[in-house]
Amino acid sequence: MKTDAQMDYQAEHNRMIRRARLKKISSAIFTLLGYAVIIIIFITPFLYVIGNSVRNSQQIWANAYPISWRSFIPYEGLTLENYSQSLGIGDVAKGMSFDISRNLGISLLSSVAVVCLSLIFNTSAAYFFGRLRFPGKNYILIFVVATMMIPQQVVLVPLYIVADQIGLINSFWAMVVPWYASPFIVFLLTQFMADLPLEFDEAAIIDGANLWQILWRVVIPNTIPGLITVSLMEFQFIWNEFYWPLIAISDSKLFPVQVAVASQFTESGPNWGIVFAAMALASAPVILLFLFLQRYFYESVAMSGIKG
Amino acid sequence: MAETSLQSQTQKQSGAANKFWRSIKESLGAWAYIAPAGLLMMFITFFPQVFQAWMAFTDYRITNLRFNIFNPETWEAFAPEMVGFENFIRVITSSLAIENYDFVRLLTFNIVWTISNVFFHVVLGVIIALALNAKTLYGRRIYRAIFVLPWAIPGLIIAFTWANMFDRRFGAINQLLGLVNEWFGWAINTDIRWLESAQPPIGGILSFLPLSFYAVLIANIWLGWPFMTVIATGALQSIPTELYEAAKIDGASGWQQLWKITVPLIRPAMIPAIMVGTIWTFNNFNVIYFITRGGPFGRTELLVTQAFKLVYEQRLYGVAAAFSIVVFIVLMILTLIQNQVTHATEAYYD
Repeated sequence: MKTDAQMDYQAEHNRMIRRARLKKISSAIFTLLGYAVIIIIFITPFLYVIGNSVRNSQQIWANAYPISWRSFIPYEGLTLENYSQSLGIGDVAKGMSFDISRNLGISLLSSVAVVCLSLIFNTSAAYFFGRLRFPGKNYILIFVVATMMIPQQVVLVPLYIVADQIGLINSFWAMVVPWYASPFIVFLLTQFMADLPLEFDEAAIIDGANLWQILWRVVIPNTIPGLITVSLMEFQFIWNEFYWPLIAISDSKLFPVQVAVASQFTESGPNWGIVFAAMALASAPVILLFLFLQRYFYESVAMSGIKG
Repeated sequence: MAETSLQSQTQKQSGAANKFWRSIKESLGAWAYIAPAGLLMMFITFFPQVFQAWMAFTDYRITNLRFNIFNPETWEAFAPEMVGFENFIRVITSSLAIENYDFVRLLTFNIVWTISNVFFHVVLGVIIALALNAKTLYGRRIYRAIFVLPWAIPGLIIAFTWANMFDRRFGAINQLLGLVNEWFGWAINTDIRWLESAQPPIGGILSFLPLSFYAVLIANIWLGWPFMTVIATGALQSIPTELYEAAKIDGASGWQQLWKITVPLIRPAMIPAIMVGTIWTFNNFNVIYFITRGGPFGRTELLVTQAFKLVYEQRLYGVAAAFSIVVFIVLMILTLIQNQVTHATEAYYD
């Protein structure tokens, strides 16, 4: 048998629990709404590209004007023809300049080449700065950091002339050679390696290992996350690079994919369906890499805070 | 007495020198690791800069491209003429024979562009990070994946998409305004020439900014805030909740908590991000070059896009080199000012 006071207390308690629960639910709804708004604003332009890449030109125009949800979300008459034309599959694309499969290949080759070369050369340079003993090493590192501060666009003119004089201009190597040793990457890797305790090296020396063996057996296995992070940054940089290849390459057969996509905006008006498909194809590799390696990507964002 | 101390000093010196040479000899193996990357950096980073400094004082033109420093036979015939500081003077006093070139306007526009962009990036980025900083982040993976997009998608493609959206007749923005008119019975002008109109929308002191400035500003804000949100979210999650609980007990309002706890504690993470963001925005080639192309009448030209045009359209290599050195000096001053401001505010908070 409960007294009135007890009953009151119980009711008050229940009310409080209910109110707390309501507050929790409403805040959850609020957060979700916030997400929804941000995602809609943020993702709409991308939807526009993807949505239009699976329609033919007629359909794109029919849906683009006047605007409605149909402009963004394709619902009928979907076709992959734009993609196949973009990749040069089928007869229609032959003889037209829509085929970007070659350009995709060039971009992929140059990005992979830079990443591989950079892993070899920058890792060994970072090993020098981070682990080895050498008089005056810190002065050299200061020099490296200083060159890192200079924006790329500012040195493009002399870089062009130097590249021209050693015969790089208008060749595939113009997209690889200037970038494989990057002061920024060396600096980042040096930071990663400096985090490793020096005792590891000392123990290896006692076991009779030489410098090369220490690099391979001790340092590299312990800096793998750092190596993945810088490889990701480098791949993205080369893949998305537009400015330098635009200057350095004038032969359309050697265009990397970004320049090839830009060149599809012709005077006579682009074929929109194919342009949208080409855009999607040119963005896909880096997006996929980033989605699978998100953890390393966030590390690289934090790392890019060091540059400046 | 003096003699002996001198002797011992020289002995000490030669001892130190010996030690230095010995350590060099011992570290010869280390050279092998730096040499390949070091040589390339000398060639690709250091040498072009020296070359650029020399070019800036010459009238290097398209005919001089046949000049090759590695081939002495070309020196006589194709070497550019030295012109002293003429290039620098022409760049700064705007006496180049190029349409719509005005150095002071370029610099002013570039600074206004940078400050307004970074301001909105930081404010919006932090506000959104605060709004989304729930204890249990629903769909955190999705949200993080979406924020990756602006980095992952090539700048060129983002810029084209936005240029498309600002199209006068078929662009999404004007059409959306039309829809808004339809829904609410308003009468907003739906025939806005976002990128072409030379008429400044705001008069007075801001009348040097055409409508296209606001258009690219919107596009670049959209592009830039996720970076600040990612950094701010990371910093917010490392703030211990006890601080807010203690503040609540002391009777601090939400506003006070924001300014006394949140802002000072995310500051150390935000400052480097702001510095990076400033340099990026200052040199944001893609957004300007592909959305407005510097127009109308060169009013939205940045220093970087102008430098590009000097090389690619005008082919004035000597002038472009001088221009690049001026840009570099501007950037250096900017970085130094930024460092000063950062240190000053740090001292204030400590």
